[in-house]
Amino acid sequence: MTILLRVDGVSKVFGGLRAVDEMDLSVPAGTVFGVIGPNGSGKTTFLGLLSGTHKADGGRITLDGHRIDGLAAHRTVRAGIARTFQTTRLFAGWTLGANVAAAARPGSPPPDDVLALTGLTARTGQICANLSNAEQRLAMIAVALATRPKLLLLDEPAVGMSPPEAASLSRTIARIRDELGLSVLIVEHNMHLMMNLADRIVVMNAGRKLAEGTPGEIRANPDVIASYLGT
Amino acid sequence: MKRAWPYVGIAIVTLAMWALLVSVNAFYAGVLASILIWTVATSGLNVIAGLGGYPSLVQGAFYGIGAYASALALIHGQNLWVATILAVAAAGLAGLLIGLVFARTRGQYFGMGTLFFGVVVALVLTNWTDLTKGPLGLMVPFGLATNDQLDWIIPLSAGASLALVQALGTSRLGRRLVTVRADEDLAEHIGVPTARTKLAGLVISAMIGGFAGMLIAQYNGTISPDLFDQTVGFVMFVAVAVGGAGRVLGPLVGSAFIVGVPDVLNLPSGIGLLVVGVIFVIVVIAIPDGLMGGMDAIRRRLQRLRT
Repeated sequence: MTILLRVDGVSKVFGGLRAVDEMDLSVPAGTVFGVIGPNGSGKTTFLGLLSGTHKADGGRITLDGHRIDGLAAHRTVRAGIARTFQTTRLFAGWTLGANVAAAARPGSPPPDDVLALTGLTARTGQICANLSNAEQRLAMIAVALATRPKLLLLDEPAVGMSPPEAASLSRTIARIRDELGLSVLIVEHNMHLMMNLADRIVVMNAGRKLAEGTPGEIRANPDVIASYLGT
Repeated sequence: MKRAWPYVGIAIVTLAMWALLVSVNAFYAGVLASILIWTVATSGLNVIAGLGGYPSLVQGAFYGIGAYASALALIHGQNLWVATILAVAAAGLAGLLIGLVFARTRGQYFGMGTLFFGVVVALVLTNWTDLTKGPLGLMVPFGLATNDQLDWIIPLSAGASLALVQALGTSRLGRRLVTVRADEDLAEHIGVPTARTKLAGLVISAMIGGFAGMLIAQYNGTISPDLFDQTVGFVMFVAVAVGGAGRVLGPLVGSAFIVGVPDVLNLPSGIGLLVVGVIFVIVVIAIPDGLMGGMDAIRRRLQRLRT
């Protein structure tokens, strides 16, 4: 299986805190990869390192064989990584269609396709600030898809969603993997969603990788149970 | 055809300004010419401050650099074409310099940085007496064949600057600047090179400001540092905000209020600034999107009522 994203010994230090400590990860093409862990374990910082939001203090990140650590965020997007945020981040006063159009670049999928995939076609002309929480979170995914990524990073995409909304989100992410062939890296606390959706899961604790495996392996891992999942 | 309408509107406004300029008496023609030259300068500012949402307080310095560069070129025997190119290039270079230093700063830090540069330029114009003759100023050689030519060059320049901002607003750079204004971090994460975008916006602002400087030098016949000090940069920012930042006609409307009202009322400069301040405070509180933004809101409300 082709490895799309390779992370070797990546670290990030804030003052005296090693938020991410020697992380290693390989994400195959066309898979959904989950990142779980307790609050403060470094998941969002790790996503920030992949998306160019933060600069790594050590280690190496390659996407499709090209080194991307140290690139500014806009160059990381061009390299093929798009992300969503934990708190909703859209051009709130613009319509959804304008948000998607702003992110498009040559070769991007047509905005209508992106909106159809995320189930937001009927909301194209709506001002984003007026969309529901679930719609706004899907809108962030639509905007990210419009940048034509190879790897999509989702930071707690299901936060604030009801169970039916989360189930619908899960189906959308599965379609992004299956129909577009993208890799998706998700940070999420909704274990039901993660266990049913992710092909593989990595568990972080105190900035380090605690475990990695299929959802079944993670569920049975005693270290993970002790530090995060509980009994 | 729909895309041509704004340009048709700008052409009509330009013709109206020309007709007004050649038909009113010398006093009002002077006020109108000042408004139109300020329209050029503030249209330039409208690129970085309006489209890009960045509070640049340095436009007065670009205006001054353009005025002095063109004046010095003419004094040294160059023709007006060369003087104009030098004015635009010198201001653009200054914009590039400021941009390289401050394009990575944001909000008030960008504002303070640009204000600082405006102060430095004013100090240089005042104290580099070998070149600028200091506070005494320079006599500017007239570069045109007749004085009457300014009657169409000034309105045409104002119209061209408005059209340029209209064109920029729909260009890739303009769309990128608007994303920077809306949310710079998000813009970066959808692939917009924000630092480079701001730098380009600032350089274009500066070049248009430099061109306006050439115009004021030709129109006045004399220039001195007080015409271009940091207060001018600040008042230009006020004019853009009052007219409607990011709105194509905003600089014309804003300049009409900020330059026109004190001039028509023939107020001493201190009182004039006070009036400018009061207009600014009223507009910012009552119509945060400026006068053109307020008109847009009224038009939208009328449309809703009609439907």
